[in-house]
Amino acid sequence: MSVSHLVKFCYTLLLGSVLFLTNGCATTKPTDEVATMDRFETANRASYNFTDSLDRNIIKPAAEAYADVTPKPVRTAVTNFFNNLTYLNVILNDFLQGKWDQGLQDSLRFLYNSTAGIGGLFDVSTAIDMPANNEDFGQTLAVWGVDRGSYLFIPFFGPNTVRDTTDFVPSTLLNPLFYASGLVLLPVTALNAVNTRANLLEASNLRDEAAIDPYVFTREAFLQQREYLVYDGNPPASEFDDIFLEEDENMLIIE
Amino acid sequence: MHISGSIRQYLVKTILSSMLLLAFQQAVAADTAISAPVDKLHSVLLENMKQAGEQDFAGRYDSLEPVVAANFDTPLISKVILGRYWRELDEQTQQDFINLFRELTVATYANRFDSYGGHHFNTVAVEDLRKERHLVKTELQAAGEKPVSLDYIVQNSEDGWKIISVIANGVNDLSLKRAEYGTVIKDKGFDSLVEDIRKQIDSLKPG
Repeated sequence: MSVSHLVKFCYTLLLGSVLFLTNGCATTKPTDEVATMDRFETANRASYNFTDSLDRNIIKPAAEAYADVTPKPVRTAVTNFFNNLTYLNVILNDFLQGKWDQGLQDSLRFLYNSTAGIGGLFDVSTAIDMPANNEDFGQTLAVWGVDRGSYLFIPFFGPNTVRDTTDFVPSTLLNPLFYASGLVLLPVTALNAVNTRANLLEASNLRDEAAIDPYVFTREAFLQQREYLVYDGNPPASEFDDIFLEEDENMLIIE
Repeated sequence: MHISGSIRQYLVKTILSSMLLLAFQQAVAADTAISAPVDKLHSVLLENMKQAGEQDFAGRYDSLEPVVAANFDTPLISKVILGRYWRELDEQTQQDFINLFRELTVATYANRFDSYGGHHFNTVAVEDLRKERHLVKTELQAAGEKPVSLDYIVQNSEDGWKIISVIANGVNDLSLKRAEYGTVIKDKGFDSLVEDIRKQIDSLKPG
C-alpha cells in the first residue's frame, strides 16, 4: 500500500469515527422529530448551498455537455463499468446481512460481468435474470438494528446519515480503483463523477421543478429512499400510514 | 339409495363451490372498488401519454381536472400536509388552500405524464392498513425499462374510495410536502408558502 493510499484510508477512517463520535456525544434531548433527524441543520444547509452552487456553475454544465456528446450506449457502458467496480462491496454486504442466496448470485453476477461483460462494460447478467442488487454497509448496520443517526449533507458527496457514512470504509477498500496509481486515478475518478452526475440530471431537474425548499426536499426524499432500500423495496406498509395517526386521533376527539 | 347419495354429494359440492366462488367474487369486487380511484387516474394518465403528439398541456390539464377532483380526497390531504398549521387558518383560507393544492396536483400530473414509450400500469397487490385505509401497490412499466413502483393509500369516504397519499419508489409525497411546507411556513410564513406554490404551478405550465 503506497503512502497516498494510506493517507486516503486514514482520512476515511477518521471521517467515519469523527462522525460516529459526534453522533454518540450528542445526548441532548431533542425537542421534535426534525431536530433529532437533522441535528446539524445549520452546517448541513451551508454545505448544501456550497455544493449546490458548485454544481450549478461547474459540475452540472459539465455533466450536460458530457451527456450531449456521449452516445447512450457509451454512457451505459461507463455506468456499467463503475457499477461493476463497486460490486464487491454489494457482495460483502449481502453476506453480512445473511442474504446467502443473493450473495452467491451477486458473486456470479460480478464474475460473469467482469469476464463475459468485458471488464464490466456490458451488464450481461441482467439479461440472464441476475439483476443488480443495492446493498451497502449503511444498510447492513440498519439490518443489524443500528439507528441511522442524524442526517448529514457532505460537501461534494451530497446527502448521507451518520450511520451510512461508515460505508466509506468498505466501499473504498473493496473498490479496485483504490489500488490503482494516481496517474490513472484522476481522469477515471473525474469520468465517474461526471457520468454519475449525468445519470442524475433527470432526478435533479425533477427536484428543481417539484421542490419549494430544495434542501428539505432532498433530505426527505433521501431519507425515505434509504429506508426503502433497507427493506429491499418492501417497507412495512404501516410506515406510510403513520402520517394519518394524528388525524385518526382528531376524529376520535370529534366522535 | 346409491343414486340419492351421489345426488346429495353433487349438491353439496355444487353449493360449496358456488359459495367459494361467491366469496372469491366478493373479494375481487371489494379489491376492485378499493383500487377504482387508482384505475381511473391511471387510465386518464395513459390516455394522455398516448395522445402526447396531439394534445397540449391545457388539454391534459382539462382531462385530468375532473379525475383528480373525484378521486383524490384533497381536503384531507391538505389537512395532513399542513398539520398543526391547518387549525390556525380560517375556513375560507383552508378552502383556498385545498383548491390551490388540487391545482398543483393536476398541473404536476399534466406536466409529468406527457410522453408515451409503451407504458402500462399494473396493480400488484392491495394491502389492509389501519381504519378504513388500504395500500394499492402498482407499477408503471415502460418498454424495456425497470418498472417504477407507484403505491397509493386509499380511504373510504362518504362518496366512495379516494386516494389520500401517493408513494413513488418508496418516497411518500405526503410526508415530503409536510416537511417542506412546514419549514417554509416556519421560516417565511403561510402567505409565502401560497406564493411559492403559485409560482410552482406557473412553472409547470409550458411557455
